[in-house]
Amino acid sequence: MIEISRHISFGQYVDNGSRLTRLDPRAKILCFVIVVAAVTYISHFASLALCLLFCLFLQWLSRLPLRYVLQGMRMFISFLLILFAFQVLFYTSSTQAASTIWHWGVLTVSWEGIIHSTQVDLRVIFLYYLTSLLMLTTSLVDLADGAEALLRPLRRLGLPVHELVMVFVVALKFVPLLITEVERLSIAQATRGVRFGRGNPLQRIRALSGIIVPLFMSGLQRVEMLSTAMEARCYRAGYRGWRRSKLRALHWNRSDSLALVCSALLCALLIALNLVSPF
Amino acid sequence: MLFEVKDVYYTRMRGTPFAVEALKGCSLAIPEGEITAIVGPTQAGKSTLLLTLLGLLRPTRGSVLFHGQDIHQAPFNVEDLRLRVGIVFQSPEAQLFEETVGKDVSFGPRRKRLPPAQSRRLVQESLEAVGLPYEEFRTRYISSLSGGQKRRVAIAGVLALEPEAILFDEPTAGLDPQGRQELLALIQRLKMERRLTIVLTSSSLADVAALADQVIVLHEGRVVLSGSPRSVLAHAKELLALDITLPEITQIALGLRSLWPSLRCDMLTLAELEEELLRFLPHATSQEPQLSSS
Ligand SMILES: Nc1ncnc2c1ncn2[C@@H]1O[C@H](COP(=O)(O)OP(=O)(O)O)[C@@H](O)[C@H]1O
Ligand SMILES: [Mg+2]
Repeated sequence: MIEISRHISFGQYVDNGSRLTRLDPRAKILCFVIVVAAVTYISHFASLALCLLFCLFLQWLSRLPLRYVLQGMRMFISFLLILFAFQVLFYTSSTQAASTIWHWGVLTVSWEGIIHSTQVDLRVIFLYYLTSLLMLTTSLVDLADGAEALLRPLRRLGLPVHELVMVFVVALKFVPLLITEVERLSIAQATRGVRFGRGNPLQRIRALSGIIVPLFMSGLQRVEMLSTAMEARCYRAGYRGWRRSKLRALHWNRSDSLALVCSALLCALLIALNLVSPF
Repeated sequence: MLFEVKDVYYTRMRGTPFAVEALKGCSLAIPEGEITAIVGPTQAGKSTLLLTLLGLLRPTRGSVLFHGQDIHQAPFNVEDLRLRVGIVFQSPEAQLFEETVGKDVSFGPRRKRLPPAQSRRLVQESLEAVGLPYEEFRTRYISSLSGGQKRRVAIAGVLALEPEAILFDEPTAGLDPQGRQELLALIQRLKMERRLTIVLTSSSLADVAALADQVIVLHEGRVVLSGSPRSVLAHAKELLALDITLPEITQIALGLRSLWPSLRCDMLTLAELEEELLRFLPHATSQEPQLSSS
């Protein structure tokens, strides 16, 4: 309970100089988008296996400790397991009757339901993994710059791209801040006799609920501080046609093109495999 | 002994790419009823040590004993320990979480389910012990207080638990000289009047040499020196190399060593320094000693 940040890797950036961290953020985001699109489309085990291979390859490239990345997914996966149970129990389809294993009222467990739910959840896990890897290997500033550069054409349509990206980045930045804040509050309350992570579930929830209100308060204070700080530095997004310049320009290298080509190939392969494989 | 720390190791952020070994085989003992100062440069592991004392961090290796009982072994209740030993963090912002002063200070008594009258009395006594008038501050918003006042509220919140010991993490950091003196005087008073055991950390011996009964010097997660302030000050040269600020008197004594290499440097007061100098001066009357600034 006290060292929560140890268990949550969401929104962290690990600057270990690996190939993945060095890729141009625009390339990374593009690769991410097409791979995510492909993973969302596939459903068969053959292509899911290929996807697993790809994730293992990315993991190797990232040089991050596997345990660390998995640890960050633990909570998500346990949540998914609960979801899995519901998916299986409430799964209905026309051809299901043949494969029913167990039946009680509206609840049924069938082979078809299990297989279908497994496929769906594996996909969700891959998506979560890809997202966390993108965040672990890209600093927030890079992510923002990359997204802004990619979305720039949308400005023609009158979309406030810079502002949207800024809002998104600030929101992301608040995740680790809030985690630190939860850590601080739980230490502060533990030193005055509140017990965390012990007792029955009701007691545990009661202990956590004491943190919620102060968490909101300090969150709001942070927002106020942030807006003051931005204002003090004369931050204006699109004031009278001002253009914000960048300290670091993005450079598109050959490796970025290579990454993009590989991702595209992978997507084609995933989709093709999904079409031809029978299961 | 109130606390005994036996060969404790602790790794911050264990299992992540950010892992740092903060304590590396730290052993020490904290006697009852005394003021123990833990002195070390920043990053030495002082704050981590205080958190392990209260069982807020669980050592990766080694054990922490409270009154001879291992705090992480079954019959021992860590929550109970935290009500008996309070901690005042370096920044009061890390500690205060309620909206108003009254609510924050009364948090401990309410947790203990004390009757309202007794709780009220405790809050009043605690606030007044730190020099904040009860009626005036009870309903004040914490966000409207100054840094020094917040620190006092944090201390009051701990006093309201009626602890037998209080741990202070860098209590004098970021205070002006007057605030520093007031705070040290308050700590001394807590020891004298309430018979509290005090543990405080600092990166400077200047503040704590006159106050502490025992000084423990921590460096890179290990205890490198410990003993009475005098015996620790006798190693002034080594302390300087560890980036620990020394008391002015010790600095003067060290500077004068360029004239008299055998000058002692474990004096605590100006009077002692003068006495020590008089041992040498009769031999040096022919020339005015030149004070080299060290
Ligand atoms: N919340 C934390 N997360 C990760 N590492 C930390 C944290 N707090 C301290 N550390 C690390 O632990 C080591 C000891 O720090 P600390 O106990 O705060 O030292 P001190 O209080 O003497 O300055 C340092 O190397 C520091 O970087
Ligand atoms: Mg510290």
